[in-house]
Amino acid sequence: MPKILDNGRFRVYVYANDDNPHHLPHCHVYWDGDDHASVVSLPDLAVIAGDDLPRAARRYLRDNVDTLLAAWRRLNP
Amino acid sequence: MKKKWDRPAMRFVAAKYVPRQGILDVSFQNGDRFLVAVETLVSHARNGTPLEWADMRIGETGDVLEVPALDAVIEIPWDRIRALADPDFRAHLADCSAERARRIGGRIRTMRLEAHLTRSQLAAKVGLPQETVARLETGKMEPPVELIEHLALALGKHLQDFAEA
Repeated sequence: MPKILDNGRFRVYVYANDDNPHHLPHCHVYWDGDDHASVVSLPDLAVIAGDDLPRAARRYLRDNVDTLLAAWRRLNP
Repeated sequence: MKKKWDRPAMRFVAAKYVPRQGILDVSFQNGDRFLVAVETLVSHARNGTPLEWADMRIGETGDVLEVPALDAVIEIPWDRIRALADPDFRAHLADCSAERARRIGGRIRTMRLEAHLTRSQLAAKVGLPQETVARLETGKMEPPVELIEHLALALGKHLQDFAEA
């Protein structure tokens, strides 16, 4: 699983996009188990789909946006 | 009315491989159903590596398909399926890309003004034509990740500074 971040409350994944016509850098965020999820663009953290991000999730993503973009670049060269 | 891309639009309820046609038949919790050619779902790099489509399963989060391969499990998230098969979602992504370009462009402009730089000074600093900086700032160009990093560095900022608070 391409899990990039996990602080016990929020899990964040970045996938290899392959030949997807959508090249928007983004990550997948899950919380409350899998009940809530968002797809969030990088590095601006706009919600593309899913639930609004809790404030703590937004802070967590912001603090780790370098790591997320590095993962995006590694997985989507 | 604009479609809502909520959790039921992300979650699979069924995914079946149809071997004779080489297609996936996928259904989502919100009732949408799509047929997708499997060759469009994995990269050319994977072509030639056999994927066990018949053993595909829905992952534990409910929004990723897991396909066993020789050396790994290939994961296909819900948005890749919709980006290929769902014109409404493709249009939504195009809107999101345009909004992102405008948002990031606006941030670059604000950062440049805070740094008391003209467009031509910033352009010279990062080695870009001034027109490119203008197109970036007005959201007329989708900024590649490398360029955002480069501009942030030149303006004494960090990638975090592009994130919405």
